[in-house]
Amino acid sequence: MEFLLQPLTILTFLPLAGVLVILFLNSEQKTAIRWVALVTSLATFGVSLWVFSMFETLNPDLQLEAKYPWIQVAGWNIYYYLAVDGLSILLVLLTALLTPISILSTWTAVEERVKDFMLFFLLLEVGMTGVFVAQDLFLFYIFWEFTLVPMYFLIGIWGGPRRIYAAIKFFLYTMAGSILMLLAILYLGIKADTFNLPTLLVRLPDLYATGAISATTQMFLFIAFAAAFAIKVPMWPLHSWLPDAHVEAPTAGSVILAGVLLKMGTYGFLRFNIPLFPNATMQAAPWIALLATIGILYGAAVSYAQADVKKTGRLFLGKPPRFRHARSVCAQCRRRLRRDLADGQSRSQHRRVVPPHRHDLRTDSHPRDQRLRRAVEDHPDLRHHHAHRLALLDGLARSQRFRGRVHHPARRVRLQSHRQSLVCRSLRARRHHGGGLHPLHVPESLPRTRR
Amino acid sequence: MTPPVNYLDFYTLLPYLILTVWACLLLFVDAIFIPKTSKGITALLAAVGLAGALGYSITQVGIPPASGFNRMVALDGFSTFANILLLASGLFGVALAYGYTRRMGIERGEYYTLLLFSVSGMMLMAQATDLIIVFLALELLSIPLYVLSAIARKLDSEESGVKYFLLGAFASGFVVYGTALIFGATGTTNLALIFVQAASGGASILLLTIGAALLLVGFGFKVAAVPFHMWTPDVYQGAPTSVTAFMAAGAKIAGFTALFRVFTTAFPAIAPDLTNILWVISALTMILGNVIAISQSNIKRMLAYSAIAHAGYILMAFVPYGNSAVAPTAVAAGLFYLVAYAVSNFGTWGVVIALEKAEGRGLEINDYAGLSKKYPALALAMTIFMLSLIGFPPTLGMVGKFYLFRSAIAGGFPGLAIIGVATSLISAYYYLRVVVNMYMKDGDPTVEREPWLGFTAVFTAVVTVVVSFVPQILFLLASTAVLKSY
Repeated sequence: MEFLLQPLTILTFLPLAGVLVILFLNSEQKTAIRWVALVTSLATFGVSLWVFSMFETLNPDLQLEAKYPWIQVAGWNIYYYLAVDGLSILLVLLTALLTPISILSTWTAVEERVKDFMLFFLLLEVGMTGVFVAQDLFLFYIFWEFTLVPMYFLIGIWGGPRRIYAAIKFFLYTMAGSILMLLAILYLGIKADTFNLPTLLVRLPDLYATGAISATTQMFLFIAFAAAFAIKVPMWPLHSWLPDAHVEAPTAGSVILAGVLLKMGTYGFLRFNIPLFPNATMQAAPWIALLATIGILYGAAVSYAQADVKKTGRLFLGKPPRFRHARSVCAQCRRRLRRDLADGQSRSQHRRVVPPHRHDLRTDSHPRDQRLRRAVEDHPDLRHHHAHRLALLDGLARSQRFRGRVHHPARRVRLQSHRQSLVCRSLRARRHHGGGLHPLHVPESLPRTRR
Repeated sequence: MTPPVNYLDFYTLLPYLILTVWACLLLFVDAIFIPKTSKGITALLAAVGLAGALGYSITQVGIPPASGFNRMVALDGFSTFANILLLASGLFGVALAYGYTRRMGIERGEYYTLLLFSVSGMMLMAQATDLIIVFLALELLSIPLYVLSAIARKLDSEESGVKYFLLGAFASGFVVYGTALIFGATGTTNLALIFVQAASGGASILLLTIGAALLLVGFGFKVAAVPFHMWTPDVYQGAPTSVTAFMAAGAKIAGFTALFRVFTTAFPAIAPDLTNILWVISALTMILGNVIAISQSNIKRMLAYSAIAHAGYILMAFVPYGNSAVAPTAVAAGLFYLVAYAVSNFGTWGVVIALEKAEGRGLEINDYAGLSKKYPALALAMTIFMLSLIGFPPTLGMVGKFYLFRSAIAGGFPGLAIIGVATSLISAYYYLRVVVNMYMKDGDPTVEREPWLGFTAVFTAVVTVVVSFVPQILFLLASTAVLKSY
């Protein structure tokens, strides 16, 4: 049980403590759940700082090692082996820093199933930290694959309209790469009789020199590892899962996706591909460079044409600041709407206009209401602003001009402002005529602003 | 002159005998003393018998191997491992059936007696070291399963029973014919002697190979390997779900234990030929099972194809069985995976039973929509089982698949391993569909709250996760189980 007291073990598995606490909380205690998640992730950040303070920056070796035999039967030579060096410590710090920030960002943005959200988020942190500190290939693979599961749920439950598609695409795409890596790991483990990275690095040169692993095999192993990491990075042409995942993920999920999960791919290249397969790396380097260059140019070119800002930050490019879409209602109208909703003036007259929660909308079974619900839920701009959502819908219904797709960012901005003025005008007009809000007009077919 | 049978012979078969005698007694007790309205007592008594035999089998772990009845049966680490697994499967089978049969109005005392007989046949299969006993065990385990499949007396159930019986009888014919050919080639039905004859060149290799291939047909049928899998979806769907759950695990374990023992003991000499056949069967099974499962909308059929696919994975590890350096690992990997599969399997079927309604409603994958909101624990358990069946950490299925792929690669079949991982990827799609429904869609499912179902689901989910962190115990058992039988 000594391994439990190692700094890196504590750092990696501390979020599980939060998971345990949250499991025993009622899912209605949203604030408590949020606080537990935040405190846990802050504590983890604290531990990461503690680990960093013990880290000797001038020492290039693996440090703070926690190495214990794990599965040592039947020819399995697997260690529980955690350690950090200069490469991983920064990524560990990054992970520990981004998690509390992301949790804070969901404070008001995530209202539904907060308990599940925080559970998955903390589990994700365990997986990510584990990836960066694991020094045994088996252990690394477990953490690597495990990060998929919580992220899959984050995208699939709290994502945008095409969340299910995006979640499955994300899962299958990344899994496709990592199972190839699994085979390569097994092959290395059998040949070198260890899954332990430092030991492998000692034994592999001999295996290469004696021809036990031929140059061709080395290339195949390189490709198998590279497939997993290139998909994660993602390198062109293996990138197509990312735009979907990014757009559909909840914003906190996107932050983690871009901030940490994608870095896992680059980390994998540096940590595993280059040292394990030096000759293959030299051979493949020009190709990697070529693909990366294509990726930069392609990504930049495609980003120009995107209507959604979340789609642009991909493919080796830095992420642009993540702002929400332009407001749909001006400040004046927003205040009025809030007042209306608060004093319940319109509630008695127009029941459907002011349901306090999304659930109430769901219970309506009239087909028109169902269309309304779908439209409201599907609209990505307004997921978290109910009043705006309804108002916008109403305004849009009055204008058939917004059908079809918006192709260019510049045009999109124009449309945004146009839409805002339109909505506000209609709100004011109605206020002028009858006071309060009118019942919603639900269009027969709903305009969509983007694919 | 063969030596006479003495009490030591019975000792080697003791777990099997305990169960068989108990089942015979139960048949009478059930018919005479237990009223129609309280067949739950029969279930309890059956569970007691299984638990008793299980307890005894556990005490046999680590004892030196022995054989009995003129080397027709063996009691070794391998058979003890299989016995424990089979008896545990029987217990789960009873646990799942207890509430389900009552709810569906098919509660009968015979159900449990038949289940006990079937388990005893499976245990005999694991202990058999003679082809005659293998055949005997095959029939003993199959016939109760045929009856159990038809026990609901509804059209689906009867169709399932008849289909299973006809095709099963056909497959048994192959086993007998294969046995006859092997006897013709070697003059013996004893597994060890067959090996001696084949190795010494005193046997017709052609006849022996054909005989072995015919045996493979019979075993392939039991484990639902392609192209002998045709019965699986219909039988799994038509049979009462509790029977399907038991059949999916039990028949597979029994079929594989027979395959492992017969092939590694009797046929290493003709391994090059059989390896090719096994390679093709395994690849086809993995591909077909997983690809067809994608298009299923009924969860029982989907799980049937998933059961086919898993037979392919286990076969994959067994392909290099002729390589004596790898054979023990291959069998150990197979046994390990059978445990992982059986655990996830019972959990999955437990959840399926919890959602099933009368008249076969509640069995569509869409019926799982919204499960996570109403029953978070059940949905979580189901997610764990699905991840385990995909082979995803942190579950037992992942460790098991790691083991299988490792033995395939160590045996020199990386191509097969690539097919294995590629089909795992395919399988992720249809297993995730269940998860998508449970977590990402809205619905209003209702679940039967039965204590034993809940216990099964929670227990197997916990085992699936916890044992994946400490798989050493199971590894050790599986690998020593094998080493003792060679």
